[in-house]
Amino acid sequence: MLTEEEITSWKTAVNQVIDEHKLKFIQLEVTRACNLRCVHCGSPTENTDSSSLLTRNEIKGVLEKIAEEIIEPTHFNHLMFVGGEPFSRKDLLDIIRDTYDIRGKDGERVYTNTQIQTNGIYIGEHPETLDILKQIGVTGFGISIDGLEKTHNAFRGRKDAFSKTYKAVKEALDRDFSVSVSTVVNQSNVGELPKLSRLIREELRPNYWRIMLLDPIGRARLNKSYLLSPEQIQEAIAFIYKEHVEHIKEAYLEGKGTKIELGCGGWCGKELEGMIRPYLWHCIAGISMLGIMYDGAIGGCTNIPRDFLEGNIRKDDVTEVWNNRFQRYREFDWKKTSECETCSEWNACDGGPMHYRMGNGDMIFCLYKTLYEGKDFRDKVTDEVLSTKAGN
Amino acid sequence: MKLPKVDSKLEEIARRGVKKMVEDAPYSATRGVYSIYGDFPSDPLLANYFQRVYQK
Repeated sequence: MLTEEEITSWKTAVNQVIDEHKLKFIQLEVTRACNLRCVHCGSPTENTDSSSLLTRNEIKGVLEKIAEEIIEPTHFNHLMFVGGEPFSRKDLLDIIRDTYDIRGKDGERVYTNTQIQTNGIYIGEHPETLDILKQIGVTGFGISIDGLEKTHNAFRGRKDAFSKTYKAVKEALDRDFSVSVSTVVNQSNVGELPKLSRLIREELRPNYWRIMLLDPIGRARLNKSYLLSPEQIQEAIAFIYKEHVEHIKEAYLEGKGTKIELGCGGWCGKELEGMIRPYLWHCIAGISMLGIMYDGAIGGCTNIPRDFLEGNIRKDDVTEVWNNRFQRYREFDWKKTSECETCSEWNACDGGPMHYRMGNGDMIFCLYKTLYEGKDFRDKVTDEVLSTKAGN
Repeated sequence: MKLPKVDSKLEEIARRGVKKMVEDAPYSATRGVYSIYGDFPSDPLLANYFQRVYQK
């Protein structure tokens, strides 16, 4: 259990990180096209203009500029290609090859940890591509498995999705890539988490298992029946807690097995922070993370509402944007409304993840209040709220 | 929130790790999604994070 003094000490360090806002992570959305049409997709194809897609040269140019002007090599961690489905883009390998050769002011390669977030279908069908990806500097993958076979296939809308994704994970691990399996917990799979654990931990054995709660953004906002009740969210968090503790020796002390964590859900209080992931949570969007959308738009990550975009690489100087904008990501008083106004956790939480904020400042979900007050935020997901561009 | 019962010795390792995460700030504070996408830290201060946090 964290003490108030410990939280204050940790937050002082976080405030320093916010002040310095050194870039550590880039999410680069190379496309919104996809070979699947998943129920929950946070970055769907609908309502996107494919003619505005960034070109290979534009991507190379902005990554070179960021490498030269923003990144301090000793602080940078990874570049993640996201979508849509990145492998839907025919010149993806060329883009990655371009990235490999980009060097910083010191002449050293900058993007040495380059990863791809994928549904795994393409890799499952073409595992030989992994050998090429290895040669051109890809170090790992985030691959989605959203349930046991039947559930995953229904959720992903394709009857062979599970078998191909399963194969993709195995083939990538066999070639010593780092693999993070991600699972979005929702009404259809919350009851099968223990069985899914056996499948992931004992059969697949990826490096990481990242569990997220279904957010009402993107395509998921269209079907609210998949959203979890407060009791189900508590059940999911209790599951992650138990899995984290019970596997802590093998995962962290012995350095083998699968590490588990809750991804991006928000601050969860002094009892649980650090017990459901190997760090204390704070939103890093626009602080350590830069998101570049398929059309060049610049945000704090690629999952935030477009109301929080800070510019576009086609008309703005990305360095100027990173250095001098992003105030809404780095100063938090504007978030201190409604539930946050009198919340005991405010000083640690700073108003939660940016992707839970609407353009008008409203918050559509709070993990802490769900866990400790049983608050049901599904009522917040009204058509009116959704019309203000939750998701993108 | 009611937490499930777990092995007390393992819980002690986990809780001790949380204390060390605080001591390890600001490095632990900058992790964010770092852990999920692989341990290839170019920052030497982030290297061996898990060992620092969870070893006695």
